[in-house]
This record gives sequence, structure tokens and C-alpha cells, in this order.
Amino acid sequence: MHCDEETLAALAMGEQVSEADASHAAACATCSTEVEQLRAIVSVLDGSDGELVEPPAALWDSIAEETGVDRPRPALSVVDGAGEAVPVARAPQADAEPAPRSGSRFARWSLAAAAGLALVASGAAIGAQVGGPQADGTVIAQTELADLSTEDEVGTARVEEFEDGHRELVIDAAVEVDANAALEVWLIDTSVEGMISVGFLDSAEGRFVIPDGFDLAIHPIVDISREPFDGVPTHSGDSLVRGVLAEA
Amino acid sequence: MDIDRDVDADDLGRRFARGDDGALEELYRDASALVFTMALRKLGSRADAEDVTQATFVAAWKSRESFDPERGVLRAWLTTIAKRRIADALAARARVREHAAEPDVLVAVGGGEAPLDDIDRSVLVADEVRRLGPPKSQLVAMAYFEGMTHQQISATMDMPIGTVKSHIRRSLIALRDTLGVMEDAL
Repeated sequence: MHCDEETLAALAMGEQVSEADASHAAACATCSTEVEQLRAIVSVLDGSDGELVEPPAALWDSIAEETGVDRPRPALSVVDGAGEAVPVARAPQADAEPAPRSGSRFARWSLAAAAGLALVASGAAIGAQVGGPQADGTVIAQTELADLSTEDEVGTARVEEFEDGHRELVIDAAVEVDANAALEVWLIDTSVEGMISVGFLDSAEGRFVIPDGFDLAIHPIVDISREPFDGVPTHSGDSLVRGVLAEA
Repeated sequence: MDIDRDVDADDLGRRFARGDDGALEELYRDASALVFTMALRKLGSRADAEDVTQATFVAAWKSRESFDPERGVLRAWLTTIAKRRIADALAARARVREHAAEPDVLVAVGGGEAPLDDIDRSVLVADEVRRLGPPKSQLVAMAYFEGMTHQQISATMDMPIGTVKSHIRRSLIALRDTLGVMEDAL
């Protein structure tokens, strides 16, 4: 009888297996071929540093432009988010760390961000007053917020930028929560792996300062979760409301 | 979970070949790090790697009808195009004008002409390990990319050593299967 695959993998890794398995694998052409294949994988793994480098964010824009594919509208992403159970609290992957941000990359992004702002300022003066009389910052991004269970629109989120450069996320939404929990506001990346909490929402309108240098292009998802008072500081996985920020 | 992922990949292949909305972006999100890293390792320049990555995805989209989702793995097909583009960039750099006109992507799709080399394999395996998902991706990364012993991994992950070993063994089998498919397609 042939060895099972795990035993063959153990042999390929140089682990001890039973004498019966070891002598069979050595004599059997099928099993020894499999061990060789698995050993080849071990040696490829040994020869790899595991590093994957993400291309700069702007590259997709160039590809979308050159191919003429439609950029997905934010509202669609919300529906997608509602349609499937997104593993919001997934553990970070040790092997998929993004490349360390080099000086030049950072400079490039700053330039891109500045270019984006210039566009907003020149092309969309109306944008500045979208928020009504209370908005004293310039609206640079906004989204509708949808209830993930009903897909109904429950309000809006917008990002305002102020003259001193600081940004605030403004939530204007009616979201209910039971007495044993609070509503926490998050900014999440498009793969729903990286996120930060910006604070708790305790009335229909909440303003939250976004840390300087925090990249909204990478973290465009506004998420409001139900956080039980259980002392666990990470996202509960219970998202109630979402929207995806798009440039205003 | 692995099965779901395969079904998703299969489904993306179909949608891509049909030219569905969003399929190119989904493929880009899924495989741009693979293509970019492969190009970066070969060309050693971020600017050239960006050009090759863009050219690869644009060419893939333009020739999407030539991808047969019944017969091929989309990621492997994309890798073939990327390899061709990298080779073209290297050739252009060496001032060897192989082609006066735009190289024909279809030429590269038949397979066999551009076998994987060690650099390709080391990037592909990094990508496939990432796709294993936690905890397997973390355990394999610790064991091979970070050179930790099973004992150290067991302590770090607070996981019995037998479980660590079993996960890594099953990861090897999964990697052998997926990389075998990639290798066959190229």
C-alpha cells in the first residue's frame, strides 16, 4: 500500500517516519517520485524570501485608462460588501507584508494627492459647500452609507480637509444600537484586511480626526460596527453600515 | 475554503474571457503584486517593472478572448504574458530589436517556449503561499522565509508542534499541486 501524502511530505521535509513507510517510499517508484516533487517545492521555498511587492496605487488608474474599462462605482462595492460575509477581522498575514515605503514612493504619492486636491479645488468649487453651513473644511471625498442587512441608505460620510491640512471624517447617519454595545467607526482598506478605528459614534452626526499621513486612497471603506463592551479592542466583525469614499 | 477559492478563480476566468465589468480590476487586485514583483526582480527598476505590469494587464485584456477558461488557469496565462513582456523589456534594454512591431501576445500563449526559471519560481511560490491563507501562510512563511524551527513556530503561534507540522505538510502538498498546474501551463 502506498504511503499517504502527509507521510510523503514529512519525508520530503526530512522528518522521521515509521520504518515501514520509509522502506516502502524508498522502494516504490510512485511514492519516491512524489517525495522528489515535494522536495523540489521545499527547495523552491528555501530559495525564496517570500517577498511580494505591490505596484504603486496609481498604476491601476493608468491601466483602467488605457483599456477603457469602467472604474467600479462605490455603490457597487457596498452591495458586494452586503452580499457576502466579509472577514473584517482577519488576522494579518505575516508573509504578505507590503514593501517598506521608500522615500521616493512617498514623494510620488504626495504628489498624486496634491494633484488630486488641485483638481477638486479647481473643478469642483461646489464641493466645498456640500456639507452645508456647518462644513468649514473642503469636502475632498464622500459616500453614501448603506445598511448592510437591508441595503437601504442610512446617511452619508464625507471627508473634510481644513486649511491647516488636517482632515476629518464626518458621519451623518441614523444608526441604532442596543444598550450593550457601541457604534465604532473604522476606515478599512479595499482587501478588508488593514483598518484603523477613528472613534465611537454617539449621535446622528460624528466628527473624527483622520491621522495625518493616513492614506485614504488605500483605506476608502467607511465602516460602522457594533462593538459589544467585551474589552476586545479589535473589530467585532459585526459591521452594520458601510460606504466607500470616492473623491468629491 | 480552498475549494471556494478555486471556484472563485475559475469564475473569474470565465468572466474575464467574456469581458465582464470589473473582471480586469479583480484580476489586477489578485495578481498585480505577482506580476510586478516578477518584473522588478528581473528588471531591477521600479519604473520598468511598472511599465511591464501595465503592458501585461493591457495585453491580457486586449487578448482576453484567446484565454480559454475551460483549459487554462488565468493566473498562469497572465504569467506567460508577463514573462514575454519582461523578455521584451530586457531585449529592448540590450538594444536587440527582435520585433519591429508590437510583439504578438498570442505567440507566447502556446506554452513551452518560456520555461520558469528560479527567480520566477521564487516569486510564484511567495504568491502561492500568500494564497494559502492564515494560518498556513503564516506557518510556511515562518518556517521557510524566516527560517524558524517548528519548535519556535509552535511557541510563537501558541500551537501544538504536531499541528504546526501537519499544517506545513499539507501546505507543501497544496503548493505542489498549484505550482504544478502553473508549471504545466507555461
